[in-house]
Amino acid sequence: MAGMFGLGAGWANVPVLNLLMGAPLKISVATSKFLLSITDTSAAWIYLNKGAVIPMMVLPSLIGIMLGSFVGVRILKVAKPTFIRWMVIGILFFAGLKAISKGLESYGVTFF
Amino acid sequence: MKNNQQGASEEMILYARVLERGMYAGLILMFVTFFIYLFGIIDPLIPLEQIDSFWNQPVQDYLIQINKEFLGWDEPPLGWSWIKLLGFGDFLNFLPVALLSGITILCYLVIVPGMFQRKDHWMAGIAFAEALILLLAASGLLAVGH
Repeated sequence: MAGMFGLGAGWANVPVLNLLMGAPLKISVATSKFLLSITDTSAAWIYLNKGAVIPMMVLPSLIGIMLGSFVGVRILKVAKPTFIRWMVIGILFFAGLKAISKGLESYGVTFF
Repeated sequence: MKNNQQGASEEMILYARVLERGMYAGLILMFVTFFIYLFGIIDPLIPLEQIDSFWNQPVQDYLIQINKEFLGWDEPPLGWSWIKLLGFGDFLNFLPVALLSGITILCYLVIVPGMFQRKDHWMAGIAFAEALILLLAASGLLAVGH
């Protein structure tokens, strides 16, 4: 899903570009993907050099993200921006909720 | 700057073309190496059935432990030492990851000459600096040794 909508580690790019800066959604997604290709590349080298790559976890994730990108680009061509906007908002909502839940776990609070 | 009908410059098209080819090459290689790993065509360093005992550990502990149990090197495998381990099915998977990580550097390097030719020195300088920064990240100088 992250691959589809250019979210990834830079999950804030698309909402900032689109909702705050007013850039068209499809341009926001493309810009986010381009930015991520650069920042994630340098990050990937750091992980490789630190030996923090376990192929059994990394390879399926990479394949999923890349296939998601293929699907996402094709969907973006035909999908209505409003639909994509609500989908991005929905994904970010659940990602945020999950992050809050994970943070609260250290205080012994669980709600998932 | 020559633009095509979509308003993309020659450098944009060149960047995209190199990126696309590199991405397809990386993806295909990733399928191949993962298939080799998954089906045990080449023996992995860490047996598949033991992987789950490592992946919840801090990376330092994981590296020390695999070095102690499977490698017996003086130092844990850091930096570019994974190249020495490409003969193992699991470390073979580092190859497509490195290819995909390196393709952006190549993308930047191939657009620099065209920018210099049309005397866009600032953009050429920025593209070249970007490639250098990524090369620095790839070198391991920033990640290893502290």
